[in-house]
Amino acid sequence: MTHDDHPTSAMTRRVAALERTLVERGTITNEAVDDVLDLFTRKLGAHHGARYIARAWSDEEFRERLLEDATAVVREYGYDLRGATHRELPFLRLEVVENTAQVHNLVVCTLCSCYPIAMLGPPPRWYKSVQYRARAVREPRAVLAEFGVQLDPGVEIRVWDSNADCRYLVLPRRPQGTDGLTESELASLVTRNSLIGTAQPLEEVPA
Amino acid sequence: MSFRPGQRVRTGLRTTDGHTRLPDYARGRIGTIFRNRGSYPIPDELVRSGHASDQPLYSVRFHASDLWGEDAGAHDVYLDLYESYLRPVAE
Repeated sequence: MTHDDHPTSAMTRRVAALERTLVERGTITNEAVDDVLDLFTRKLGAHHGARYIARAWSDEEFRERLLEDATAVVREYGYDLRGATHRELPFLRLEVVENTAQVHNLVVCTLCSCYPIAMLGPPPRWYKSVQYRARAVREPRAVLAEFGVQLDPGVEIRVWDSNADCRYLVLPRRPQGTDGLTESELASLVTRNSLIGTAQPLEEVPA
Repeated sequence: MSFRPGQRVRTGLRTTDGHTRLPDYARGRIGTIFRNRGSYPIPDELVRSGHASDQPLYSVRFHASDLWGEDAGAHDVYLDLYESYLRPVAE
Protein backbone atom coordinates (compact mmCIF):
# COMPACT_ATOMS: atom_id res chain seq x y z
CA MET A 1 0.00 0.00 0.00
CA THR A 2 1.38 3.41 -0.87
CA HIS A 3 1.19 6.05 1.77
CA ASP A 4 -1.42 8.08 -0.12
CA ASP A 5 -3.86 5.16 -0.31
CA HIS A 6 -4.12 5.00 3.42
CA PRO A 7 -7.37 6.56 4.65
CA THR A 8 -5.69 8.23 7.59
CA SER A 9 -2.59 9.38 5.75
CA ALA A 10 -3.54 13.07 6.05
CA MET A 11 -3.90 12.70 9.81
CA THR A 12 -0.74 10.59 10.00
CA ARG A 13 1.23 13.32 8.24
CA ARG A 14 -0.27 15.96 10.49
CA VAL A 15 0.66 14.00 13.64
CA ALA A 16 4.18 13.37 12.31
CA ALA A 17 4.61 17.10 11.58
CA LEU A 18 3.39 17.97 15.06
CA GLU A 19 5.76 15.47 16.67
CA ARG A 20 8.69 16.78 14.59
CA THR A 21 7.97 20.36 15.61
CA LEU A 22 7.61 19.53 19.30
CA VAL A 23 10.83 17.51 19.25
CA GLU A 24 12.70 20.32 17.44
CA ARG A 25 11.54 22.79 20.08
CA GLY A 26 12.60 20.44 22.85
CA THR A 27 9.09 20.10 24.29
CA ILE A 28 9.14 16.31 23.96
CA THR A 29 11.64 13.67 22.88
CA ASN A 30 11.19 10.89 20.31
CA GLU A 31 12.00 8.40 23.08
CA ALA A 32 9.17 9.73 25.26
CA VAL A 33 6.71 9.34 22.36
CA ASP A 34 7.95 5.81 21.72
CA ASP A 35 7.52 4.97 25.41
CA VAL A 36 3.90 6.15 25.35
CA LEU A 37 3.18 4.21 22.15
CA ASP A 38 4.81 1.13 23.63
CA LEU A 39 2.75 1.48 26.79
CA PHE A 40 -0.58 1.72 24.99
CA THR A 41 0.03 -0.73 22.17
CA ARG A 42 2.02 -3.44 23.93
CA LYS A 43 2.28 -3.17 27.71
CA LEU A 44 -1.37 -2.44 28.46
CA GLY A 45 -3.98 -4.81 27.19
CA ALA A 46 -6.70 -7.36 27.78
CA HIS A 47 -4.06 -10.02 28.55
CA HIS A 48 -3.76 -8.36 31.97
CA GLY A 49 -7.50 -8.45 32.65
CA ALA A 50 -7.57 -12.03 31.37
CA ARG A 51 -4.99 -13.10 33.97
CA TYR A 52 -7.23 -11.74 36.70
CA ILE A 53 -10.21 -13.66 35.39
CA ALA A 54 -8.26 -16.91 35.05
CA ARG A 55 -7.05 -16.53 38.65
CA ALA A 56 -10.61 -15.86 39.82
CA TRP A 57 -11.83 -18.98 37.98
CA SER A 58 -9.08 -21.05 39.60
CA ASP A 59 -9.02 -19.64 43.12
CA GLU A 60 -12.30 -19.17 44.96
CA GLU A 61 -10.82 -16.98 47.68
CA PHE A 62 -9.26 -14.69 45.05
CA ARG A 63 -12.61 -14.47 43.24
CA GLU A 64 -14.38 -13.43 46.42
CA ARG A 65 -11.78 -10.77 47.20
CA LEU A 66 -11.99 -9.45 43.65
CA LEU A 67 -15.77 -9.10 43.83
CA GLU A 68 -15.54 -7.55 47.29
CA ASP A 69 -12.80 -4.97 46.64
CA ALA A 70 -11.11 -5.17 43.24
CA THR A 71 -9.27 -1.89 43.80
CA ALA A 72 -7.41 -3.31 46.79
CA VAL A 73 -6.57 -6.53 44.95
CA VAL A 74 -5.19 -4.66 41.92
CA ARG A 75 -3.19 -2.34 44.15
CA GLU A 76 -1.67 -5.41 45.77
CA TYR A 77 -0.90 -7.42 42.61
CA GLY A 78 -0.46 -4.69 39.96
CA TYR A 79 -2.64 -4.35 36.89
CA ASP A 80 -0.79 -7.23 35.21
CA LEU A 81 -1.08 -9.52 38.26
CA ARG A 82 2.73 -9.47 38.32
CA GLY A 83 3.34 -6.39 40.38
CA ALA A 84 3.23 -3.66 37.69
CA THR A 85 2.83 -0.29 39.34
CA HIS A 86 0.27 2.31 38.41
CA ARG A 87 2.79 5.09 38.14
CA GLU A 88 2.25 5.64 34.44
CA LEU A 89 -1.49 5.12 34.49
CA PRO A 90 -3.35 5.52 37.76
CA PHE A 91 -6.95 4.60 38.07
CA LEU A 92 -8.98 5.41 41.09
CA ARG A 93 -11.35 2.56 41.62
CA LEU A 94 -12.20 -0.73 39.97
CA GLU A 95 -15.35 -2.81 40.36
CA VAL A 96 -15.60 -6.37 39.08
CA VAL A 97 -19.12 -7.49 38.16
CA GLU A 98 -19.83 -11.19 37.82
CA ASN A 99 -21.84 -12.93 35.11
CA THR A 100 -23.90 -15.85 36.35
CA ALA A 101 -26.61 -18.10 34.94
CA GLN A 102 -29.10 -15.42 35.99
CA VAL A 103 -27.21 -12.15 35.35
CA HIS A 104 -25.29 -10.70 32.39
CA ASN A 105 -23.27 -7.50 32.78
CA LEU A 106 -22.47 -4.98 30.06
CA VAL A 107 -20.13 -1.99 30.40
CA VAL A 108 -20.49 1.32 28.55
CA CYS A 109 -19.52 4.94 29.05
CA THR A 110 -22.30 7.06 27.56
CA LEU A 111 -20.41 10.35 28.06
CA CYS A 112 -17.10 9.33 26.49
CA SER A 113 -15.15 6.05 26.54
CA CYS A 114 -14.12 5.36 30.15
CA TYR A 115 -12.99 1.86 30.95
CA PRO A 116 -10.03 0.21 32.72
CA ILE A 117 -7.36 0.88 30.06
CA ALA A 118 -4.56 -0.66 32.12
CA MET A 119 -6.29 -4.04 32.07
CA LEU A 120 -8.00 -3.86 28.66
CA GLY A 121 -5.77 -1.68 26.46
CA PRO A 122 -7.10 1.31 24.54
CA PRO A 123 -10.87 1.13 23.92
CA PRO A 124 -11.90 -0.29 20.55
CA ARG A 125 -13.51 2.03 18.01
CA TRP A 126 -16.99 0.57 18.52
CA TYR A 127 -16.81 1.22 22.27
CA LYS A 128 -16.31 4.90 21.53
CA SER A 129 -19.03 5.04 18.85
CA VAL A 130 -22.16 7.10 19.45
CA GLN A 131 -24.24 4.11 18.37
CA TYR A 132 -22.89 1.76 21.01
CA ARG A 133 -23.02 4.40 23.74
CA ALA A 134 -26.61 5.34 22.94
CA ARG A 135 -27.95 1.85 22.39
CA ALA A 136 -26.19 -0.07 25.18
CA VAL A 137 -28.25 1.69 27.85
CA ARG A 138 -31.46 1.67 25.83
CA GLU A 139 -31.63 -1.75 24.16
CA PRO A 140 -28.76 -3.86 25.51
CA ARG A 141 -30.39 -7.16 24.55
CA ALA A 142 -30.50 -6.14 20.88
CA VAL A 143 -26.92 -4.84 21.03
CA LEU A 144 -25.73 -8.08 22.64
CA ALA A 145 -27.49 -10.15 19.96
CA GLU A 146 -25.64 -8.17 17.27
CA PHE A 147 -22.37 -9.04 19.03
CA GLY A 148 -23.45 -12.69 18.92
CA VAL A 149 -24.38 -12.96 22.60
CA GLN A 150 -27.75 -14.69 22.78
CA LEU A 151 -29.23 -14.63 26.26
CA ASP A 152 -32.21 -16.55 27.56
CA PRO A 153 -35.20 -14.23 28.03
CA GLY A 154 -35.04 -14.77 31.80
CA VAL A 155 -31.46 -13.53 32.16
CA GLU A 156 -31.27 -10.18 33.95
CA ILE A 157 -29.15 -7.59 32.14
CA ARG A 158 -27.20 -5.02 34.14
CA VAL A 159 -25.69 -2.15 32.19
CA TRP A 160 -22.89 -0.25 33.94
CA ASP A 161 -22.61 3.31 32.64
CA SER A 162 -19.17 4.29 33.92
CA ASN A 163 -18.65 7.99 33.43
CA ALA A 164 -17.21 9.02 36.80
CA ASP A 165 -14.30 7.87 38.95
CA CYS A 166 -15.06 4.17 38.91
CA ARG A 167 -14.14 1.59 36.24
CA TYR A 168 -15.76 -1.76 35.56
CA LEU A 169 -14.49 -5.18 34.54
CA VAL A 170 -16.81 -8.10 33.78
CA LEU A 171 -16.02 -11.48 35.32
CA PRO A 172 -17.39 -13.79 32.59
CA ARG A 173 -18.76 -17.27 33.26
CA ARG A 174 -16.16 -20.00 33.09
CA PRO A 175 -16.85 -22.13 30.00
CA GLN A 176 -17.90 -25.71 30.63
CA GLY A 177 -15.41 -28.51 30.10
CA THR A 178 -12.40 -26.42 31.16
CA ASP A 179 -11.67 -28.21 34.44
CA GLY A 180 -8.30 -29.56 33.31
CA LEU A 181 -6.91 -26.29 31.97
CA THR A 182 -4.02 -24.43 33.55
CA GLU A 183 -4.43 -20.84 34.65
CA SER A 184 -2.57 -19.56 31.59
CA GLU A 185 -4.71 -21.71 29.29
CA LEU A 186 -7.80 -20.33 31.01
CA ALA A 187 -6.50 -16.78 30.45
CA SER A 188 -6.28 -17.47 26.71
CA LEU A 189 -10.06 -18.00 26.67
CA VAL A 190 -10.72 -14.51 27.99
CA THR A 191 -11.09 -11.93 25.22
CA ARG A 192 -11.24 -8.17 25.57
CA ASN A 193 -14.91 -8.14 24.57
CA SER A 194 -15.76 -10.76 27.18
CA LEU A 195 -14.33 -8.37 29.80
CA ILE A 196 -16.66 -5.62 28.53
CA GLY A 197 -19.65 -7.97 28.34
CA THR A 198 -20.10 -7.97 24.54
CA ALA A 199 -18.89 -11.57 24.16
CA GLN A 200 -18.73 -14.84 26.02
CA PRO A 201 -15.24 -16.23 26.61
CA LEU A 202 -13.84 -18.66 24.03
CA GLU A 203 -14.76 -22.28 24.67
CA GLU A 204 -11.48 -23.76 23.50
CA VAL A 205 -7.87 -22.70 23.87
CA PRO A 206 -6.91 -20.95 20.61
CA ALA A 207 -4.41 -22.83 18.47
CA MET B 1 -27.07 14.80 52.71
CA SER B 2 -25.71 11.30 52.52
CA PHE B 3 -27.60 8.31 51.18
CA ARG B 4 -27.77 4.65 52.14
CA PRO B 5 -28.15 1.56 49.95
CA GLY B 6 -31.78 0.88 49.09
CA GLN B 7 -32.79 4.52 49.42
CA ARG B 8 -34.81 5.98 46.54
CA VAL B 9 -33.46 9.15 44.96
CA ARG B 10 -34.36 11.50 42.14
CA THR B 11 -31.70 13.02 39.91
CA GLY B 12 -31.63 16.76 39.31
CA LEU B 13 -32.97 18.28 36.11
CA ARG B 14 -30.08 20.67 35.87
CA THR B 15 -26.97 20.32 38.00
CA THR B 16 -24.60 22.82 36.41
CA ASP B 17 -24.23 25.34 33.61
CA GLY B 18 -21.14 23.58 32.36
CA HIS B 19 -19.48 20.18 32.55
CA THR B 20 -21.30 17.43 34.43
CA ARG B 21 -21.18 13.65 34.72
CA LEU B 22 -24.95 13.35 34.91
CA PRO B 23 -26.00 12.21 31.42
CA ASP B 24 -29.07 13.87 29.88
CA TYR B 25 -30.99 10.60 29.72
CA ALA B 26 -30.81 10.23 33.50
CA ARG B 27 -32.00 13.71 34.47
CA GLY B 28 -35.11 14.01 36.62
CA ARG B 29 -35.31 10.20 37.02
CA ILE B 30 -36.00 8.05 40.04
CA GLY B 31 -33.51 5.37 41.00
CA THR B 32 -32.29 3.39 44.01
CA ILE B 33 -28.93 3.74 45.76
CA PHE B 34 -26.96 0.53 45.18
CA ARG B 35 -23.52 1.24 46.69
CA ASN B 36 -21.28 4.03 47.88
CA ARG B 37 -18.22 4.18 45.60
CA GLY B 38 -16.05 6.45 47.75
CA SER B 39 -15.47 10.21 47.55
CA TYR B 40 -13.79 12.14 44.74
CA PRO B 41 -13.32 15.75 43.63
CA ILE B 42 -16.56 16.73 41.93
CA PRO B 43 -15.74 17.01 38.18
CA ASP B 44 -18.32 19.77 37.59
CA GLU B 45 -16.12 22.10 39.71
CA LEU B 46 -12.79 20.50 38.89
CA VAL B 47 -12.96 21.40 35.18
CA ARG B 48 -13.61 25.07 35.98
CA SER B 49 -10.91 25.81 38.50
CA GLY B 50 -8.66 22.77 38.78
CA HIS B 51 -9.79 22.44 42.39
CA ALA B 52 -12.85 20.79 43.84
CA SER B 53 -14.05 19.43 47.14
CA ASP B 54 -14.58 15.69 47.51
CA GLN B 55 -18.10 14.40 47.10
CA PRO B 56 -19.49 10.92 47.72
CA LEU B 57 -20.07 8.94 44.53
CA TYR B 58 -22.97 6.49 44.46
CA SER B 59 -23.82 3.66 42.15
CA VAL B 60 -27.53 4.20 41.45
CA ARG B 61 -29.77 1.57 39.87
CA PHE B 62 -32.44 2.65 37.39
CA HIS B 63 -35.06 0.39 35.85
CA ALA B 64 -35.11 0.76 32.08
CA SER B 65 -38.80 1.69 32.22
CA ASP B 66 -37.99 4.62 34.54
CA LEU B 67 -35.51 5.91 31.97
CA TRP B 68 -37.12 5.09 28.65
CA GLY B 69 -40.81 4.51 29.34
CA GLU B 70 -43.03 1.48 29.69
CA ASP B 71 -42.07 -0.16 26.38
CA ALA B 72 -38.39 -0.30 27.38
CA GLY B 73 -36.84 -3.68 28.12
CA ALA B 74 -36.55 -5.21 31.56
CA HIS B 75 -32.87 -4.35 32.08
CA ASP B 76 -31.37 -2.12 34.75
CA VAL B 77 -28.86 0.67 34.18
CA TYR B 78 -26.38 1.41 36.96
CA LEU B 79 -24.94 4.92 36.91
CA ASP B 80 -22.20 6.37 39.10
CA LEU B 81 -23.55 9.71 40.31
CA TYR B 82 -22.14 12.33 42.67
CA GLU B 83 -24.12 13.28 45.74
CA SER B 84 -25.08 16.79 44.58
CA TYR B 85 -26.90 15.26 41.58
CA LEU B 86 -29.32 13.45 43.89
CA ARG B 87 -32.34 14.35 46.01
CA PRO B 88 -34.13 12.03 48.43
CA VAL B 89 -37.55 10.74 47.40
CA ALA B 90 -40.19 10.60 50.13
CA GLU B 91 -40.76 6.95 51.09
